[in-house]
Amino acid sequence: MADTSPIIQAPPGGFLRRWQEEHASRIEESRRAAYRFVQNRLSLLGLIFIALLVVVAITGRWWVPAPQDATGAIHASDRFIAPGLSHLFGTDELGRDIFSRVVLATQTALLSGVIILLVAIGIGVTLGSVAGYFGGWIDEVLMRLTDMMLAIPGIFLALAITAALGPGIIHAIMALSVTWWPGYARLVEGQVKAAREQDYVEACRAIGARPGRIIFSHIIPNLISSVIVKASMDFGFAILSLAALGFIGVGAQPPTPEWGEMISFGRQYLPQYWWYSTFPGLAMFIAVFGFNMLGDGLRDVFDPKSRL
Amino acid sequence: MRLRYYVLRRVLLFIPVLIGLSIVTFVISHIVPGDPVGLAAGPGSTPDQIEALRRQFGMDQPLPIQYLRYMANLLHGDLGASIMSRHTVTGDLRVFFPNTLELVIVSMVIAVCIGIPLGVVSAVWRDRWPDQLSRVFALGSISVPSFWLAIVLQILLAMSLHLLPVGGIYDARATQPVTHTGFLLIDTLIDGDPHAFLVTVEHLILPAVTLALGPIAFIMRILRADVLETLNSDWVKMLRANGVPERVILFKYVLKHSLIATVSVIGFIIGYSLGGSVVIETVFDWPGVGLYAVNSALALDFQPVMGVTLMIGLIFLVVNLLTDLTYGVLDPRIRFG
Amino acid sequence: MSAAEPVVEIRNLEVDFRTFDGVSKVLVGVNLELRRGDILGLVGETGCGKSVTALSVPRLIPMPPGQFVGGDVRFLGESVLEKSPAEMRELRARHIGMVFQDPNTNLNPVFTIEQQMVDACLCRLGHAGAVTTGPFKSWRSSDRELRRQARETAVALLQRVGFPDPERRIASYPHELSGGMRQRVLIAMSLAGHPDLLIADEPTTALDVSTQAQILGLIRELVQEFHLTVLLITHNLGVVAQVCNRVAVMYSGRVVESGSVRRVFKAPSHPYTIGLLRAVPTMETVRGTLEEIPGTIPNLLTPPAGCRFHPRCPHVMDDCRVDPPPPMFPLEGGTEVACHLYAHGARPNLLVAAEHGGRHDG
Repeated sequence: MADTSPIIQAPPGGFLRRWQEEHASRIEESRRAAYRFVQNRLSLLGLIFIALLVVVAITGRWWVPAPQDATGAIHASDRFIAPGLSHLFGTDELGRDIFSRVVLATQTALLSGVIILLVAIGIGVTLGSVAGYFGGWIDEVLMRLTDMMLAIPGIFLALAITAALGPGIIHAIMALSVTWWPGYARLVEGQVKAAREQDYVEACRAIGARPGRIIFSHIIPNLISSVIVKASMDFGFAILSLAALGFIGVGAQPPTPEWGEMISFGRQYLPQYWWYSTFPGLAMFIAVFGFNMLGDGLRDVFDPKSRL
Repeated sequence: MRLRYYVLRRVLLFIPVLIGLSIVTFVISHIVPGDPVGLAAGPGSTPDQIEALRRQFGMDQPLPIQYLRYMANLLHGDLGASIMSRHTVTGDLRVFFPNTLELVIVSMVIAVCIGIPLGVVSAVWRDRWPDQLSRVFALGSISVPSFWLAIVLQILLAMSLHLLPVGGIYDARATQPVTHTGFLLIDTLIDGDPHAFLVTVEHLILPAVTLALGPIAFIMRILRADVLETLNSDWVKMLRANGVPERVILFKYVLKHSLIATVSVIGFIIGYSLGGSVVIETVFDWPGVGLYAVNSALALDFQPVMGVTLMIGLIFLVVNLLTDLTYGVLDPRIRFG
Repeated sequence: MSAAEPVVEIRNLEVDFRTFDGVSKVLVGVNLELRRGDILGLVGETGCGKSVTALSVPRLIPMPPGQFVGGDVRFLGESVLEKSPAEMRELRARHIGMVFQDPNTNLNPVFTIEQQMVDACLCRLGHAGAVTTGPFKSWRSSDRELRRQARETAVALLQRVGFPDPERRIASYPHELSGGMRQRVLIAMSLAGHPDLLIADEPTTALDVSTQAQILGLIRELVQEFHLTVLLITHNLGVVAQVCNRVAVMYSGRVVESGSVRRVFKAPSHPYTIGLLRAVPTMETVRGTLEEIPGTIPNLLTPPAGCRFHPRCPHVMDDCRVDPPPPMFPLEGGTEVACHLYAHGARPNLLVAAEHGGRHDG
């Protein structure tokens, strides 16, 4: 009688155990990476920073002294109070508590940063992998396109776009996403192109897997670490760029609290009411510093060869 | 000669990139919801006046025609006109561009002069306090919002301590120096006017130093990494084996090798500085292309924005080409021929 | 310095390497001696510590991971471990010449041969001050004269090592030369200043066979002509047979046997040496069978207790598993060996036992 038992037996045990065994090597890798991460003081510090920041961003609304100051409240009699116990960072020209606005601006900044990067990564990784995998003229066109977009500092393009569409934080986010995706497209294109030559891709094609599946299930997981490293290093800069657009006046509009816009607005009251411009910038500095520490740490962990 | 062909090929590649850029900026400038001509004409102008102004600027034609006319003019070196300033864009750029260039060049000189020694020190005293300090400083430099730092320095050094001017390119109350090259530093030297030169320098300090901070960090980091790697090379071991003093190994051999890495960063830094100039010029009222672009964009005046974009795109391409050529000079293995 | 005093004397040298995964005991008691005029071949498998031993004389082992934990290294009668960095630099420049393994990476690619050789020669001739660091230093005419002389010396040396057309080709860049030529440049550099000792770390391993033969022949000639004492590191017993007059066999951080090449190759005493020599295929080797020493070299982080060779030794005794081998002591014929089998005057005939495939009954 012919042997009809399947060639490959599914291992015994429940779904979780099977998943663990299938991905054993990757789990081990992650464990080692996590160990290296914790060893690195810098990245640990950065992580703590960021965790605090995220907590502040999410919960700020509930514990700041004057949440209504971020949504349009005006206290005409409290104009320009210097920093002190009642108002930690002082008040602005409409009597609003700057501390509350700075804290609530954290939420704006972090959320915007996440959206910008997610969109940029989404577009960039997709286009990059398609170009890298299929090669030919698709690849050429994409490379020329990214060349062109990377030929000028992003801020000019973002400036033009936001000026054209009109000021507002949504437009600013859109503009910045448009300027960031080429970086990811290039990163991914090179790696996908190299990966395509590898044996495991040949094997997948040989058993008839469709390109989409090959790209998304196999090639991309190997790229994730470099994309994450780039994203973590870009995050701080994304926040800075958004603030720069706000500073110029094409980003978030009042009463939405945004660091760049606050710094810009406070300029006209220098030097007497110095706290207006100073504190938002300080907050931004600390936040970006934390993200960069984290980014450096992640890079050390995932790519120790390029240790700076 | 291979070199000539290489340069020619690269220059020819500029064209598609610039065309692409021009299309992008052109398209963007025409999604404008507002009406720049209306803005420029000012409140209270009659529709006829606005129409006349529109015809004057050729903005009554269909879009593709406008683009073609723009490109045709481009080939004549005509970048259009600024609705806001009523000058030609080319004319405006001729005034504003040298100022930005001066600022960027000075800040890059500062960055290189501080960044390279810092990088070398960091590498040689690896993991000891000079290194730790430099690395924290570098991390801080790229994290700090440049426009905020500029304002803080303005408050401290200019407004409170009155050590340096608050802004501007020259003392507005004094007689302005004569323009020869458009670069104030050079012009004042040509005129043999040391006082004017000093005033110019005074005005340059704050903006240039603020702009240099990021590049200092980039240079320091890349140099540190490269020097560290180079110090592990076999040929360093060979030099040590022959008793060559450590000082010579470092400053002659390792440095030249690491210069290659630095050159690769220079291109990036120029781009970064040009981008940074937008906000720095805004803070310090520096009459450069950054400020020009910002003001034009805010006024929905897009010819200048396109002009600036194309100009900067061209500069970038040229800088990249020069960088690649410099590699050939520095590393004999990459010579073209 | 009298002719009787050895050029190099290494006594019980112990070196540790601190790595991420722990402390690696790379050298655990190396004893080595070089007399003037010796050409000593230091042989052993990869990882046995030959390079670390040899590089401890000029102290070129990177000291953050590396650490001297015990013993002494004496060069020309003086302990090297007590010298200052400046004194060491002087030593390396004036008394020790070195040729390393890979000619491709041992020359700086962005400088010409001329620039590198002139600098090396200046330092080796004692004129380190005339080396130019940048445009400002040393444009004095006396320095320029010194550099000119150094260049002449360099060209003459290149001529001597068989480098073709040295006067013109000294201006080439390393990547414009073949591997063999690059190695000749490095050899020429090492000879400047007539050093007392030449250390050659696998000088021919990276070269093809015919170039190997040329370089080895060159080394033989130069040793005669320059009255060199040579410490030649290699894993190739054939090279030792061709060039060396003495040999020292190392295993996992220790010298296990040393003596004249003729004596050791004809009548090896240590079980490891015996195994090594038997592993070399000869014309008589029956096709299809290669003798090998069973087992693998020990992990330096967790080495075996006692004698590190004991897990692979066909003649292992109880002592071997517990005590490290005794310091080397002499047998007849000038060979020294570090092995429990020879303790207390015993002189087992291991060769006979090996012929019969069996172990010696100690």
